[in-house]
Amino acid sequence: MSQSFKVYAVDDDPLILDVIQTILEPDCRIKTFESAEACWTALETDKPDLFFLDVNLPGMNGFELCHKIKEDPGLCSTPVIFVSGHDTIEERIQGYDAGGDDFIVKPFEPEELLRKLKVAQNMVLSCRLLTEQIREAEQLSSLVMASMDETGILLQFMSKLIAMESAGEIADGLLELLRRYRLEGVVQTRSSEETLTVSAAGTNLPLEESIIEHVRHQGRIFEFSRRSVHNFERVTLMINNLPLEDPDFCGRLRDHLSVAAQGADSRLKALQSENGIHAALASVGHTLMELRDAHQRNAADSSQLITALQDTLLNSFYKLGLTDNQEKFLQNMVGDFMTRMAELLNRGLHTQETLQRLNDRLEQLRNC
Amino acid sequence: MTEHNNETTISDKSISTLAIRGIRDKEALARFAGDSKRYRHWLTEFISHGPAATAQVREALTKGTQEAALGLVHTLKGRAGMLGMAEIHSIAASLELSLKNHEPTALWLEELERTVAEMSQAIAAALGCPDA
Repeated sequence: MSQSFKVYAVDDDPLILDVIQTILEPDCRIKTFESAEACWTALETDKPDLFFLDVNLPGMNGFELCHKIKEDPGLCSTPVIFVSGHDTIEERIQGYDAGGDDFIVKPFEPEELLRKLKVAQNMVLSCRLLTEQIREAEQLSSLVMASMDETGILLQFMSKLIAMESAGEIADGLLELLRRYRLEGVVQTRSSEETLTVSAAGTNLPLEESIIEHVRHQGRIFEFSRRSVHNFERVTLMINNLPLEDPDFCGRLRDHLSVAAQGADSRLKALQSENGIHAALASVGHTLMELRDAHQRNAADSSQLITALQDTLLNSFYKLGLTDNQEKFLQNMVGDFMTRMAELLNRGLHTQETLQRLNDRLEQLRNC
Repeated sequence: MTEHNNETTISDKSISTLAIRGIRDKEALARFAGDSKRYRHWLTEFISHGPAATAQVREALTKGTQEAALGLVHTLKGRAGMLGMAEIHSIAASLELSLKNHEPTALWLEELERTVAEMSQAIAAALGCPDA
């Protein structure tokens, strides 16, 4: 600290300045001035860590110079020690009012001057440490705020993702996410139906498609120059302008983009499953209706067949020359069978109604 | 700092041989970190500076410029104190106080002139200066 610690001493008597310089020289870098004005001029280009100011100076006195120092934003925290020939309470109060930090009376002992220097050095060191701690705390807080903001963007995307209903919507959502992170890139979504490649430049551009095709098999996260690629089964995200000058931000982006791509991949998988279920439901409904129609047709055919049987039987009675009893017996027997057949056909109607209800329920499920 | 201590021991010895009445030489030499050459320089300077300063004080008082006289006395007091001249420091302090309180100063000024002149002669004799 000693060699970097700079002291300005102001006194109109060169002897006093010589004494101060002689005493302090081994412990700091010292500059001396014979007037407050000369000191003030030097302050335009250089700033010390401590002032020793004589009170009685020709022209601007020590108190006035101290006032000016304490009014200057760049100097106000620099300690000022008055060196005075008057050890009076009035002078000490004046020094205090001017913003001074300490007071030493001439003639002083070397030990006293050195002790004041050490105290000031410790004070300045503590002040610097505190300033550094404040700076670090401010840096940390802005980092946390930036990180919260970045996380907020990701959360917004994830909450919208749940409601996205198509691969196109998901790809657009990912592009918007990149834009909000001030990134440029390409998004590709892959499903059983289609492969969609989108960027700010357009959709399914051949060059972008060929690049994605090349990088999508390079592992989960693949980085080259300012580019980074995040690969999942159904999604590939390629960033073209990674902010390499900010490694912390790059690290956070890597995490956020992985989460977003993984979320998009899961949503695409879910969409694929939903589509499969919908298709299966439609197919089952269709089969049920076919079954019902076939059943209906069978019932109608059976009914016609029975009626035809009855007509044929009645006509045959004349040709067979049966007795009344024989005709009656046969009529009763056929009538009994027809009643039982009618009951069976009625039960078939029940089955058709059940099939229709099942189809209606499936229709409701498809529309959910 | 060790170098300074060694120097102090040697210088103390050489300065103590001056044996100037009214100067606390060890105290004063310590203020120059034992640098006797430097201390002698300022003592030599006092031979002319001291009487010149008292003459300027008298001139200022004659002209009625109290503030100028006060500044000169204050500077002389400070310098005398740093050089270990306790008596001159004390007389200058009394004169300064009289000036501030607008009290008669003639006696203190005469006393100061006399003491300063004696001190100048004593220093010149001790250091062997021809202009004493």
